[in-house]
Amino acid sequence: MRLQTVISTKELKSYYVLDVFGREKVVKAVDDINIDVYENEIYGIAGESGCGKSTLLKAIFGIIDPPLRLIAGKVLYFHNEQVYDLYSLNSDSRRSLRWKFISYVPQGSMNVLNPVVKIKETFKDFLDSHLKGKTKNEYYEMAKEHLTNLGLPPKILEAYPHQLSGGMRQRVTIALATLLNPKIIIADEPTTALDVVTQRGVIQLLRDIQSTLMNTIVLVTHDMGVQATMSTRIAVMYAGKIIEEAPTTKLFQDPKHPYTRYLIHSLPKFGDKSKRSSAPGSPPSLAALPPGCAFHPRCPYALEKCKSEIPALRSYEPDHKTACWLMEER
Amino acid sequence: MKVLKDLLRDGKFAFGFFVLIFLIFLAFLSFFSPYDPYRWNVVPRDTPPSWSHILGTTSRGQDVFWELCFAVRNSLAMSLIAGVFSRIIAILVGMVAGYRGGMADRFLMFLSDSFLVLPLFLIIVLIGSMAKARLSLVSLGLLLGVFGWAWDARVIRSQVLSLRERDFTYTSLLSGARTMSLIFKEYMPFLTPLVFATFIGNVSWAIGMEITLAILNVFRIEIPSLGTMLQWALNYQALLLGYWWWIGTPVVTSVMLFIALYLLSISISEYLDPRMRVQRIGKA
Amino acid sequence: MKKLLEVQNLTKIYSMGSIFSRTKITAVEDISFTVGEPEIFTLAGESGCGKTTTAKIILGFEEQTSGAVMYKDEPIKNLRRGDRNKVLREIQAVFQNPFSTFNPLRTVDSYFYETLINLKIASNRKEAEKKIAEKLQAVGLSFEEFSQRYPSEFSGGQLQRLSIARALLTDPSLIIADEPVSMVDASLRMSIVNLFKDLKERYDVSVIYITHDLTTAYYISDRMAVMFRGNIVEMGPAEEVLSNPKHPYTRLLRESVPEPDPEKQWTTRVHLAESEHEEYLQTGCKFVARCPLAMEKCRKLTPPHFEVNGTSVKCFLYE
Repeated sequence: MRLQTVISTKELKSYYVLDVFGREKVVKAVDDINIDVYENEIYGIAGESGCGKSTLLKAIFGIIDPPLRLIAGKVLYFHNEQVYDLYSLNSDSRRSLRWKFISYVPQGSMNVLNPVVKIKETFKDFLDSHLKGKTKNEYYEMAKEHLTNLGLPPKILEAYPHQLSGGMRQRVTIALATLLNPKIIIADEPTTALDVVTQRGVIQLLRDIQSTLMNTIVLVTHDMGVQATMSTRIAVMYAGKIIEEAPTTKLFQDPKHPYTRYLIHSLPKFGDKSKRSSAPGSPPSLAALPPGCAFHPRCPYALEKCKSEIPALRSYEPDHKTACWLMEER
Repeated sequence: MKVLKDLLRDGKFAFGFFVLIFLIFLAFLSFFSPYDPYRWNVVPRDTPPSWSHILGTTSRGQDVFWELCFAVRNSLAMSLIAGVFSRIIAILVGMVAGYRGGMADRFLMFLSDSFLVLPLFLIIVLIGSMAKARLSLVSLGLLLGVFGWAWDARVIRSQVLSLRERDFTYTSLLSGARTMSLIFKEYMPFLTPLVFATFIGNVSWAIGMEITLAILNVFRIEIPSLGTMLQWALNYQALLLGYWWWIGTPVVTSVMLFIALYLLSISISEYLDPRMRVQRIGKA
Repeated sequence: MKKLLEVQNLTKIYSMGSIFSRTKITAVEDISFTVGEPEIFTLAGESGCGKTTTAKIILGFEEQTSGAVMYKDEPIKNLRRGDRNKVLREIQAVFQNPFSTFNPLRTVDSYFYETLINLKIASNRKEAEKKIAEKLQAVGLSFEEFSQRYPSEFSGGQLQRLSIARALLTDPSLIIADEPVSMVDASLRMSIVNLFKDLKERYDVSVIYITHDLTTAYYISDRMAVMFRGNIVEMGPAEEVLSNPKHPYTRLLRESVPEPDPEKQWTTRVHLAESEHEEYLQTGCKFVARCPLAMEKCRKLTPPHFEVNGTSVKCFLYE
């Protein structure tokens, strides 16, 4: 059975255009991205810092503020048998899709809870701005019910943010983002900066939400361990482009792109002390990309072609897309 | 030179810079003045601008243009003294309080708080009126300097406090750096924009203060300055009598000077902002 | 194995708040360990467990409340008072954030020359350059790509290499590395980790590796200590501690590491503390509130260290 697509991007390009004292600087953060995210899956986007993965999430959620600009392409939402082209919607209809259809847990969101009001006020305000016409106590009840469903203690509603641990705050923000049962949750590094045990608690919560709501999570994280435990399908980003996309098990068992191979094989594991080596060189700056495949200066298998032509993301095996000229040669 | 070129591309800076250069040029011209600014009745009185006296003459029989040159020179010199002196105090107090912490910090911050809550203006007027006859340009500059550091010392302290926690402080310590060299090499580059911006702000405050004191008649009125020039013009009812060139000259000059200093300060602090600097360095 | 550094009953108490309501937080509570030469000793634990405070005390950036740090059998405090430079030549450090290790407004090489001149290792520029080139080579960088550049011109991985090279300039016998790879890009992380292994094997440098990442700890360390809320709860050979964790906390920690293997999935669920603050103030064993095997006495008495299979465990289960 073919899964229903819920989000799709078409040749999406979004660049930061900066003005550095009279000189224009273009940072190609999201460069020609085509992805299809299906319902009832956890779609992981992996990549190192500065590869454009957070910007991609922003573009998908529709928060493109200067200096970030939409250069070309479309973001399509599939909701109730209808297709919405995000960037041709007016701001009212965009707002009506937000939080009900798609919600966003930004990076470091655990630090954005209003520190001077109790958690329940934050929940009430959030509900009030989206539902309207209910009493305070009805909102509190809804919040309480939602937390109980997620297995979080409802008494935290009475607490102030600083009284909670970092892990609990992060889970509160996730609870807030899922309050209206969105079809899609996009989360940017939700477990980064958390301790391992706390991280496990947050992953547990996200997975619980996904399995009860049967919705979609788009998860951005650089941590391949978290990707392996959570995602069902993974896209690997490098220098603003997706270079490989495959179901998790396939990607970990048989990574095709040399970069993905380095990424996966360099990870140390318990019970295996054999020498690990990482890719030579450093990731390029998005403001000064090398010509051709952006990975070629670091790639030990680089061909002549790789230095001048950009490889396209293609399916060489069912469900497994790779952007690499080596695949073409075989 | 490259820095100046970069800065001149900014319209705000360019305007402020040229106004200031022009005023400095005027100040410099005062050395070639054909008249002694302390003597009266050296030219015909109350003549409007003409070729022989381009900004006209005053009721005291002085040439407005040449008087202006002296006034600009004195006002600038006095405010520079105030600015530099208060910067030195602010940097020392801020650095020591921020880096040393503990008792030194508490004492110095108590001192700066005291200066902040005191009604400075009243005290300056009081001191001014008591020491009026002996107050020279230099001593007025120092007096204003003593009262102009408290807030800036606080800002510097808080910057140093946050810089002290950055890893490079530890790197420097591990490299065997001594306290003084650490403070100046590591922290000074971050503080320069702040010091610069507050310096310009302070200079403009000092000029304003001098004008206020002169109008309130608590500064020696025979010393030509922007303030005293205005005071004389007001005293002789220049406005009422329609001697617009006399009263207009110091007013327009002061306003231009304030605008120029303001524009310079915002443009320079934008340019020196560490984040911007890092970006520029990265690009080079 | 020769003893290089010995930490004896180290305690650090911070008092916070105003004069009227002082609360005391015990960041490090009576910890002892030794580092031999050469070995890689790991201090592992979550944020707030006191591992960084311990490092700062060893480096002299913080003063301990009680206890002692001995370097080659002499209290480091006395050594520092007598000849600060001597200690700096022996013990160096590498920090977590490569982007703030060097001042962004200064060139990186200025720190190198400063280290050599201040600590009287080189007397002139030429000698210094030779020394620098040698150390840069050890970390896989060349002199040409290094001189006269600002930190923003390097990548995180390069900066971390430079930070290690600077630490090596003094030919130290001990390097304290506080989370040296947590902010380095994933594709470069292992090259930095391997560098520490190299230091031990090629240059006989001991390393105190401070980390929250148990997989890299397993990969490089000889011995390790697991810290929790200021206490060392388990200490021993890294292989034994991580393959066969004994303290319930170590077990939880070890189990919670998300492994890069889609086949391995958690089967049990975790319970998280709602607020971290309470655990610091807990009497008895700090882990008792979350421990599945907690006993009555765990609440009242602080467990001593028990020896089990060559590891020392701070838990009554092994009495």
